[in-house]
Amino acid sequence: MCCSPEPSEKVMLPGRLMSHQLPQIYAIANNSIFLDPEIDSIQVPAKIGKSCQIVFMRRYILVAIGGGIGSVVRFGITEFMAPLALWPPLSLLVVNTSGCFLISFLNFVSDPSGDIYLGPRSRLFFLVGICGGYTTFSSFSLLSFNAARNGSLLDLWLNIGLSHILCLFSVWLGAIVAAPFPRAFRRIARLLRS
Amino acid sequence: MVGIVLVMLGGALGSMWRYSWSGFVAERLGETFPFGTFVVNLVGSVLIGAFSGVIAHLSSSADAALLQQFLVIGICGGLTTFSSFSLQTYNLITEGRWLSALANILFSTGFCLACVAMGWQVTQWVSL
Repeated sequence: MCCSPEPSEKVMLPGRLMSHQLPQIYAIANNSIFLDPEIDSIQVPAKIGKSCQIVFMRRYILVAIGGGIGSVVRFGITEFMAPLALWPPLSLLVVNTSGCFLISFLNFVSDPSGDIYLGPRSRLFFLVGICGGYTTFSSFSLLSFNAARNGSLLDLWLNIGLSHILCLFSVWLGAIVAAPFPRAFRRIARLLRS
Repeated sequence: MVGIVLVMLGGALGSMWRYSWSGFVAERLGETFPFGTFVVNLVGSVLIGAFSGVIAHLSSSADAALLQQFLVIGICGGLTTFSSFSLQTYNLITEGRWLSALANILFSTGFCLACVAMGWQVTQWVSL
């Protein structure tokens, strides 16, 4: 049941709303999103005069789609590098390092408050969704565990050390590369407006 | 083709859970330390240990490949993240909080490794 008498109960949209309630609720929802894209639920009057909250699924759908894309790309890269029979943790190293560079670059090119070149939902999609699904900590831990179990301590420490060092370096590199972009964007915008 | 769909579904689920759980934890434990990413990486590590232990005991290699794609590459891969972890560590370093950054790296790596061992060991005990 969509609208419960408890005002604090959250409700998914679209839920089992009465058909005549839908236009009003969508109107209120659209206005609220326009005012503040960060809100995740609103109070709306229900049929009986009591109110219910509607949670916007949009944010979770964005993260889900981005995560799906990132995971598939990671799968593709590891499958491509598997037959090359190089050092086993190498494919994951490549994936995590490039993912760290990407998240850092996108994070520092955009800004959640000042100059927004990626809005909050785009940041959610690219940073939490794509980069989050693309990189993985669990596979890295599993590789370390297998290396420890096989007794190959060189593999273990090399994997751990290289992963952390290269990924932190990639984050730093992404921040450096992203730094001139906002100013460049503003110059180009000013040029186009002149 | 089936593998790609399984990875996409698992990745979508894992990422949604990562977003909701890390947000939940961050709300309660504060934003001073990346507890959300830490918790989510821990859970993902336990799961990957458990799933790998189960998959290693499967007789059919076709089933094993499908489960590996959905559970390990998809769900665990989407549930955990190295990029957010590295970015948060970098932010801690640039804020001058070297000790917190080092703690993040050591505790994340150490506890996640222990969690993989735990998850894997439980499946070994259960299967006996």
